[in-house]
Amino acid sequence: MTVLAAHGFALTVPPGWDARIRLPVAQSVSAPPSMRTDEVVPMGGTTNPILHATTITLPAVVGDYGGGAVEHLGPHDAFVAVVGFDVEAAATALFGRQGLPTLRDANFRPATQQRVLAGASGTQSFFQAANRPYCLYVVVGRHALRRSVIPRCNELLRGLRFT
Amino acid sequence: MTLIVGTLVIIVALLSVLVVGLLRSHAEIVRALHDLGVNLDPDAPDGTFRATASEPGAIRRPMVSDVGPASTVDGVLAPTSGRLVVAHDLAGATPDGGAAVVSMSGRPGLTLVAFLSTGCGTCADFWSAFRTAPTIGGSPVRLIIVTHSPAAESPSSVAELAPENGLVVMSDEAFDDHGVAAAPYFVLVDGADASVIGEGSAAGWVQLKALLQRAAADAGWAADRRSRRDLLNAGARRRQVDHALAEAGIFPGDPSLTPEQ
Repeated sequence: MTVLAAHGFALTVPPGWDARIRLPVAQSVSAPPSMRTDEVVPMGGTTNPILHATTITLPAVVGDYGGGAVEHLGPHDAFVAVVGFDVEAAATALFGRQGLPTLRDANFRPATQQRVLAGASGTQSFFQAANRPYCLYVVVGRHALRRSVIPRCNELLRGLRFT
Repeated sequence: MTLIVGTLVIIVALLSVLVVGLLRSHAEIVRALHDLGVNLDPDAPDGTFRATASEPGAIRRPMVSDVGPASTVDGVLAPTSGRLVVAHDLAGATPDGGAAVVSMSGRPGLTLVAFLSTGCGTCADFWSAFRTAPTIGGSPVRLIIVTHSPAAESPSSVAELAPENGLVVMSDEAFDDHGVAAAPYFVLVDGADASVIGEGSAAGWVQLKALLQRAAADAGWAADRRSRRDLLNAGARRRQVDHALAEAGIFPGDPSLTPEQ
């Protein structure tokens, strides 16, 4: 199995997974026409490290929480995102949990998706590791078949280390 | 009684036509093999290849390992020795400072792995061509560009040349795993099982696309889909062609395969 390491993540990637680690850079984009101004506005999204992994082809451009990828999940596919937050947030109660959680069937709900996709479901957990706060966000392609997919996700997450 | 006899006469006539056709086809095959230097007669004199080469004193068929490196025109890399059967997963750095792993199996459709460099002149045409999503036979292809690692390639130069929505992996290991000695080099992969459909190089995208389309068609890929029948026919056809060429003593790299030289 291949080990992927960058920006505080070290992931042993099981066969069949596409994975990518990136550190987004702050960008400016032109204001939308509705703002009726020529000023540039900050581009949305985090500038902290992000890890994406999926059982489908990982598109070249993916939103922080899987936009552009989760729409293509099949019934037995999954998308996993580990999104970093600013270091100061580790002191808050939201990130009080230490270490990656283990995914369970009951954690997944159709409503727990950034953008609800019919048939799919997701789960979101906040934790800290190596003194940095993270969000774990997982989407499975078919809620009814999640029991066949979650073990694969847990296998992937067992191979994740924070450096 | 007359009707039965008449029917039998017609059937015998049809069978005769069929037998004559088969004999004619067989004769054409034998003639074609003879033209290629193969003589099926075990008592044939030396100087021609025999169908059974295991006899003492028989002319040994050249093996792949006997064939020297193929020569190509300037700027085009010769095919690698040996045959790449299965593509390897790609892992390495990305031009933006991240890292990526790309699985080559379990992905529907075709995957084109393009080994490129920022410094070679021949690669420039491909960097430019890949700004538009490539298609083969009218079907979209998953494109993965591979360059050498950041130790040998400038990530900023790669990022400047890379397609806006293209996936680039910077990995020396990928070059080694696929036996790629230099860029540009291309490997076309069946995403279902990571099997390699074709590999090689070309002087430009137009030429490469034609070669890829031919390789995809030979492997049973139709424009939009492939059926089981397509697959089976293509596999059988490929085996037949390989077998006929091997029987004729023609192996990869044989000069007769590049008549322009």
